[in-house]
Amino acid sequence: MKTKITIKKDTPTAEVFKEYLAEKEAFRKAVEAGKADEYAEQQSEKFAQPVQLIPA
Amino acid sequence: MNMPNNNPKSLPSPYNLSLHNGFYVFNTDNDVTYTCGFRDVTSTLSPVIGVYEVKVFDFEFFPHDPKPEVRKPIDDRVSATVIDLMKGFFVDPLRVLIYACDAADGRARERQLLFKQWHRNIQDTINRDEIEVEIEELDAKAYGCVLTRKDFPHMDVLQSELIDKAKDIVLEKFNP
Repeated sequence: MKTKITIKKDTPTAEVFKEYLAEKEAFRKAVEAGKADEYAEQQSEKFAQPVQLIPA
Repeated sequence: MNMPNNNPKSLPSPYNLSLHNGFYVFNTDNDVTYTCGFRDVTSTLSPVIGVYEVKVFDFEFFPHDPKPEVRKPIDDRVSATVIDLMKGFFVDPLRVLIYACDAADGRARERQLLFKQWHRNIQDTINRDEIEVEIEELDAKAYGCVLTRKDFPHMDVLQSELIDKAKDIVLEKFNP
């Protein structure tokens, strides 16, 4: 199934959606720059650990 | 640390995953480090979803390549590892995974197609609903997905409270 959504520009929805993408962009930049640890210090409370890893 | 070994024989072996600073991390044979993050966004969505004990997570992963000038071969173990992580995520049938493809290089649509190929490895057990969001009159389009187990019991609720209300959800998420 595919859902298409069009958001009008210069609306609050457009702004917050851009903010959502910007948040992802900040994560991408931090990881690609090898600064994931610094990013984690600031944003760690936003991330969850829903997958249980088992010892190798 | 490793995920339980539940890969189909067609997939190469996944890389070892470790938990580091709240992120799931793995290193490839090509010395690229991938960092994967899950954000629990349930509390920012319609409270109706919570009533059904459904948990919604936003998923993202990015590579860190210390030598980007060196061209890397295609590495199928990367997709095998991400798929393995997803399998671990979906041990709970009430979990929902959403993601938006990275668009930094203008190749979000290509990633959507790539991930669609990856998901073929789990299509027997996982449903995949694509979402395309466009900001009118701007050159901004986002490609994303909602993933659920095929035996997810509240698809009607998810459809009405998450997918149909996507615009409102975006607003609620950032303006609580």
